[in-house]
Amino acid sequence: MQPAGIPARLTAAPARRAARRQWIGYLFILPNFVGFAIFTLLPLLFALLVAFTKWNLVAGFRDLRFVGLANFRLLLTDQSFHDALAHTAVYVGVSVPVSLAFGLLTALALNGRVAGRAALRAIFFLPFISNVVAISAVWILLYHPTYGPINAGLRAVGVANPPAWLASSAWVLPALIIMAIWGAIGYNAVIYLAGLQDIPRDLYDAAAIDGAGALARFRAVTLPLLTPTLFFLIVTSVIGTSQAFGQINLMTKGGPGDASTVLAYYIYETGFQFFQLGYASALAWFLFVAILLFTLVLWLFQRRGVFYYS
Amino acid sequence: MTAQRPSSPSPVTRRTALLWFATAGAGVALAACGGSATATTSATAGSTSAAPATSAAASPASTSAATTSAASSAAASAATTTSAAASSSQASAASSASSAASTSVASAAAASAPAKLAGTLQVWGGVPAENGPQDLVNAFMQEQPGVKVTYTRFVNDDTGNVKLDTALQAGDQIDVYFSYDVPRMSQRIKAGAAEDLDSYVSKTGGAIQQFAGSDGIFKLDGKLYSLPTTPETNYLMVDKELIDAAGVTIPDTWDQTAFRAALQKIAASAKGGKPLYGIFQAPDFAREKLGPNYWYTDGGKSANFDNPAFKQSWEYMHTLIFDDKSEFPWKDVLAQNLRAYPQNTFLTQQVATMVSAPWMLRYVNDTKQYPHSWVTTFAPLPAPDGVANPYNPGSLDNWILLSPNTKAKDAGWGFIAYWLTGGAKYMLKGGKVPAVLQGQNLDDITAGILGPNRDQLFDVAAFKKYGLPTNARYVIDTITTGSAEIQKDVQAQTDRYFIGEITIDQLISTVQQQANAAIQKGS
Repeated sequence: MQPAGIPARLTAAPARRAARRQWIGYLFILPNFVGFAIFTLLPLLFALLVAFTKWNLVAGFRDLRFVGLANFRLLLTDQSFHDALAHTAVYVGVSVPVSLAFGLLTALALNGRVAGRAALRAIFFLPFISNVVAISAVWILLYHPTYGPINAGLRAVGVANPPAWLASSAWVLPALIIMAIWGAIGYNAVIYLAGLQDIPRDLYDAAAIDGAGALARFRAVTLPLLTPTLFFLIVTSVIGTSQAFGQINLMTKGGPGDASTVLAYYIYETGFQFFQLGYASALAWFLFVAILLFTLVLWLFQRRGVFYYS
Repeated sequence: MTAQRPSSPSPVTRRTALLWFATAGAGVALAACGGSATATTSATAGSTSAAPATSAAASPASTSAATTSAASSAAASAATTTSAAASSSQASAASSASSAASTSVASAAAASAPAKLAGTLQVWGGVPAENGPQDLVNAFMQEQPGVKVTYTRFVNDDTGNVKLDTALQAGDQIDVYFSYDVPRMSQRIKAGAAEDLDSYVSKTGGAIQQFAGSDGIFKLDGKLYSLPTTPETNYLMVDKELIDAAGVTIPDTWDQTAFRAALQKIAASAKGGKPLYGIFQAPDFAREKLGPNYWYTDGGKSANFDNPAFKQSWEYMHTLIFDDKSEFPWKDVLAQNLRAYPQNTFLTQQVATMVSAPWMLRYVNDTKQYPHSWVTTFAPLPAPDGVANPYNPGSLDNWILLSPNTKAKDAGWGFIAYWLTGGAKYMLKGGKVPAVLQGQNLDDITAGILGPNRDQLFDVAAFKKYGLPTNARYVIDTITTGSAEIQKDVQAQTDRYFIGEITIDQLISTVQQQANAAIQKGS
């Protein structure tokens, strides 16, 4: 069968026809690729170049000085960077697993016959589509140490000295983590729900006939078949939370002290407040490579841990 | 809540997705560096009132008439200021600039029947166009019909300054622009984004040349790249209703000890269970005592935070916050991100006084956003104990610069010169006291600065007395090594000290060590 639009003489030469078809394929992705190349790939490579220089943004290219690996060597000794890395690790390490777990519980609850399921789903999803500026403004009020409803509630249940949240080095990171978890649960739950719907009913029926209880069915059927979804969520959540910036810039500016300075904020500070574009680019590339490595490790793990049902 | 999350409608389980994940991660990592700057809040400068300009313009006739009488007194004060400054080791940085200009103002006004200029000018400034710059631009274009000026306002916060820097870097988009802090300005000058103004100044001569040659003007390596357009004098803004109720009266001078007692009295006068604080944040006494470049010692080679003046100043604030409870709790400042909006606490009567400068008067005038019926009066800054002639932590400010890439250099300079002299009166309603014309008719300036509702909202005589000092010792920092990082370190550590997380000794040693590291890195 000869596809429409391909001249007959070409059908005589299958190799050329295949090449031509490939061209058409590339043509179709071209508009997207042009945008990707200009706005993502080029800046990415330019940032890599800048990472090997000392460059002040305002100076223009005249003032671009190559300094070899100096920026990367600075990564080893810069205490502020190590602190930011630790804060990022805590932020990601706590908020991702907890929001994944709560998201799963929410999805399981919503997967059954619940009255107003669609409405509930929309409510849980709302934080994900809300503007980060609005959300941050609301949480600033909630966290107010003296007048905020959170501390008012804590005092009402007998906590005499509730945390100062955003105004405390010890509590600022937990406060941001709680907010991150709240924001992610709904999104995770909706993705989980899609995964749950994909699990064939007959597997549950078969398991029930074999005498499996609810818990056994969850462990033997639901969980394995949800691993692709889980895998997707872990990867996207880690990428997303590693780059948390908006809420930190709006709510704490990395403080008190540097207690909430995560990597993305530190990059911003280095680049646009201290004007050290070279070092900031090195930091950004470090973040990129770290995320890439993490994704690769997960990808290897996927061969053993993720179960695709077909 | 994550700022940037690649959102796919359904789980991607194909191997090809690896590339997608990787590139999405990279794109977002870069966005965190660059793109997100635009997502941050641009509200720092807050709202502004568009006060009508009825009384803003002091008429040229009355201005020049007043010149002769004002000149003699200004010259006298210039003499005292200069001798005081000369005795300090940093004579060049100490300022007597405000008073130096007056003598030849009249001749300049007469002589500068300006040459006809031509060209198109893009001017970037931080003051909203309706608060003065647009009137100034219109008047300039009337005087110079060959020049077309477009004024663009950038918000003077991190985001806005990045926008300005980006546009400057792009080359020919900006002809004249403003800078509002020395670290950023010196970055721009070092980056070649500012024209050396010395030759323009000597060509123009007159009042501007005299002003530019006075102390207190920022120079880099001895060269003049910028001219300040206004003095940002620091003084106290005081809620008259609250201090009257507390029985506090304002003296002509007071020191830390007397001031602390007054604040205690105010705090004790709180009524109805609602806390009342004496002040939002106590003045920077270390600055008042040490003056310019106070972060540095040894000619800028090392940090100066182990100077006892810092410990004394910070401990004083700590005492006010924790012992006297007469300063607004810093915990609440952090929790509400109030640092950029101190006027909120003053205009809602949570604090009775605040360190202030003329640009903040617009908030008092903004009775829509801050409805109030009480009168705002003014007081001198308290001096550090035992310091007779303190510096004013304010400075000559709002520097205007000429881009070296401009195609209309003469028109650009003509505009700058106009802003400093004939056009300065249009900026009064934006709270900008003229830098060059200072020492002129203080009544006209007071009226223009305080606006049409001055008799209801302000104690006009008190402003003239404390808000327009003709002999203030302004501070201009000439050493800027690592200053952006030092500023951040000082802020981060004092934040922790003022919420009670670290001791004064930890504060001093940490800041000293971090600042020394920043100086090493920056030099």
